[in-house]
Amino acid sequence: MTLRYLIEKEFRQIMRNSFLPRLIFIFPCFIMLIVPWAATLEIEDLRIAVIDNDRSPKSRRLTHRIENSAYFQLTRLPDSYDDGLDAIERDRADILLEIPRGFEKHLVKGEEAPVLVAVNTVNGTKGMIGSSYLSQILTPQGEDVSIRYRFNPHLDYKVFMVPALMTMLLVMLCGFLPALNIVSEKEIGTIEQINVTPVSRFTFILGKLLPYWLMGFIVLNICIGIARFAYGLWPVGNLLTIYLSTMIFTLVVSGLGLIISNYSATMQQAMFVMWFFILIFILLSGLFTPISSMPQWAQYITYINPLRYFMEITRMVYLKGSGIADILPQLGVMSGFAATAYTLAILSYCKQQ
Amino acid sequence: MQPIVTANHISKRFGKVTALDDASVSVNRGEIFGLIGPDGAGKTTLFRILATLSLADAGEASVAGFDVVRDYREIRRRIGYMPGRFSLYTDLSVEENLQFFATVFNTTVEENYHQIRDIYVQLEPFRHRRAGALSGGMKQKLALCCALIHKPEILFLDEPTTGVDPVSRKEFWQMLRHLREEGITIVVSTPFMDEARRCDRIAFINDGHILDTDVPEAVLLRHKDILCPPGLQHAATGNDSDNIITVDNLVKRFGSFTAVDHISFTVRRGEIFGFLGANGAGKTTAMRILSGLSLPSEGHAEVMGYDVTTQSEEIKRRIGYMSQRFSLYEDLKVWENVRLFAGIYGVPEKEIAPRTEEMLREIGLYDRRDTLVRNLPLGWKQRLAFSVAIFHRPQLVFLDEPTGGVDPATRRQFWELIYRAAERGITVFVTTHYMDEAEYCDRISMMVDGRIRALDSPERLKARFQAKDMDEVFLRLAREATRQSD
Repeated sequence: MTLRYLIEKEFRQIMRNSFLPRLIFIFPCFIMLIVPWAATLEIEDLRIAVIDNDRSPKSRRLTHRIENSAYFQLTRLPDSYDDGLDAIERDRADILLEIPRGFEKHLVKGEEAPVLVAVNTVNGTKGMIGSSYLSQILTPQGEDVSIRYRFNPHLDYKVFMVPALMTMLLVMLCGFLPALNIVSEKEIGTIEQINVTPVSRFTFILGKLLPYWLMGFIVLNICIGIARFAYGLWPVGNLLTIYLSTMIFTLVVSGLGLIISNYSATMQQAMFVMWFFILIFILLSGLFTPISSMPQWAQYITYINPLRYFMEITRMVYLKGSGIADILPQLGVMSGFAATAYTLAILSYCKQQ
Repeated sequence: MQPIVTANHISKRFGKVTALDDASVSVNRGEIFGLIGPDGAGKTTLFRILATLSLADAGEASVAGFDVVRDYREIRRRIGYMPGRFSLYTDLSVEENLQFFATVFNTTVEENYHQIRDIYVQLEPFRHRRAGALSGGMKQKLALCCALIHKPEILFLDEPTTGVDPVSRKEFWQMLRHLREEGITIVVSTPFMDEARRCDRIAFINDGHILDTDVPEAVLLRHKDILCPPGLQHAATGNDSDNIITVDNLVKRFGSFTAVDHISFTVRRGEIFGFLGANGAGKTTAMRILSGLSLPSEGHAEVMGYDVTTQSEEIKRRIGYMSQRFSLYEDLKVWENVRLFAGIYGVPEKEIAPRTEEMLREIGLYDRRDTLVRNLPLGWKQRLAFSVAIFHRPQLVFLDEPTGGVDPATRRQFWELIYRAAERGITVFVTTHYMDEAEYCDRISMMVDGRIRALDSPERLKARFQAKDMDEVFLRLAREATRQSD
């Protein structure tokens, strides 16, 4: 079995590298322990200005509710809308709520009580989220809607981020390292010695792929461990489901890395091309922004993004507890990608020019 | 004459390795001073200390009257340094390289053009070509121009002619003689003994010690066991009737450039076949086609009865190959490399360990079996690479400049291995730039401009060209080359 010798060689090289084994441990720890705290879309302490034209008990109660909310910080109470707008322009407030005269009267009569909300959306996300928080405070006025957040009951952003970061780590490590691998053999010249041996393309590429497969598995376990002990997050669904989908997913990204490596002449080139793909994959995966809010054409693109499917799987299994049957469509598509990537990796590796 | 370069009791260590140990040399103004010694002897370290790129652990050195530690700025203004590799920007054109180096030294190409004119006229036709696309010989001439552009008093040249063919080497040395006449002092290291003889004085350096400094003949005589070992004797092998390689009108084109131009020849089973030619004559290209690494554009070639176009994998199973870029895994240990390639060639697992031990004992590497290949001296790496290439007992082995950059004694040891392989019936197909090695072959082919100009035994070639050695035969034929693009 030639494959055994090739894999032996890859592992010896990885272990003898002074940098790679450390990278495999330090990189996941760093990302998993720090990023969820820093990269959050939760908005706190939005500065709000309330213009209370009604000055009634009901309007005062509303103002108090806003003041007591963790999300808002009541900074001023301007007399008129123009004064309030002025505060926004001077960057002293992010959001403006105008309670019209007759607010209480309308409510008592059981009629709709319109209020005006003006938001500074220079930072779009902040503004949008702020206004939606505000409308949550305003809606209980109707008292007939009750919202329950399922699967992430405390709307904890970290719960949303942790599975996504796991995915990102797998892409980075299992994508970049293979991309640099073959091309580094090209630069050193050892690939020539391999090409002149009877080793088959299938075996050679498989020998390159399997070590990264195992590496992906190690990284995944580190991540799962950190998620459990640092964030108390354990998959609601079956752990084996996650293992299975990770194995398929790692094949896809490592395969892609090898294809790029085959076409590149230098490490630089491989690095940049891989970076280009990974950036697009991550931005169009639903990691940071939900796919459903992307324009239609971008949504179509996400269908050919393997990351999208894996992201869905991790979140579904981790948070919702989905079983194998629920994620079959995603697994199917990813297996297709894996087969394609591996085939292309073999075909693009030429032993003869 | 007063010394222009002196080094007194210089020592330098890299971790556990002692590169230089109490080395002292002094170079007179206006001479060509050669540094001769095996790979890893400490030549490059000495160059780097004198060129103020590296600091010695002990001892002191001065160049042009300035101390290498205190007055390094003054020294850098007065010297030209040509490191063994990487001294040119391969993506810049010939002209751009020259201009760049001129700018670095606050001068212009025009200002010092007279200094480099003799050399540069040869490069002028290619001044818009990327330096990376030049042949080995041309690159070295350009590198020399770049080292000369600021009118240095002293030139430090670290193995400037390694991997360069005999014709280009001769031209390169003519240039050095010429520079010497203009009063430039030259310190040069070389693995070629004919070049050592052209120096005014040489120092023989081994294991970080300067063992001897004198005129070339005296040093070569005193250390002839290493520097001028006796030639090898070998009974001609080869079977007249049985051809292992048959090449018929083989052509390889790269775009509009024809690297190999309708060559036809045969190699007999069991012989040592030397494949000679200037840099860029097409040797490596032809060899890569025969070993299944490259596809021919036209023509037909058979290796062991298999077609190189359609049955290259069959060929690869049965041949060994050692390329000019040393190509074992440097981050693997000696035995791990042997095991890897043995495994790839399908040597049964049980046989690998005993055969590895036998092989390593034979080439004297058994005690270093746990050493990373990276840490072996070049000569040992080459012997290991050759032994790995024939470990699976192929019938034919291709060697592409297997002995570049090592001293004569090491090369001789390598050729003893080749002879031993030939005695076992392995056919050896070898390219080389060393003409003494050419004499060791049973038959030789000379490639000029992509064609085979001569093919015969060394004796008959010498008789035909009325030459006293292969060097003369080579020069005679290679000078006919018209392909300037090489």
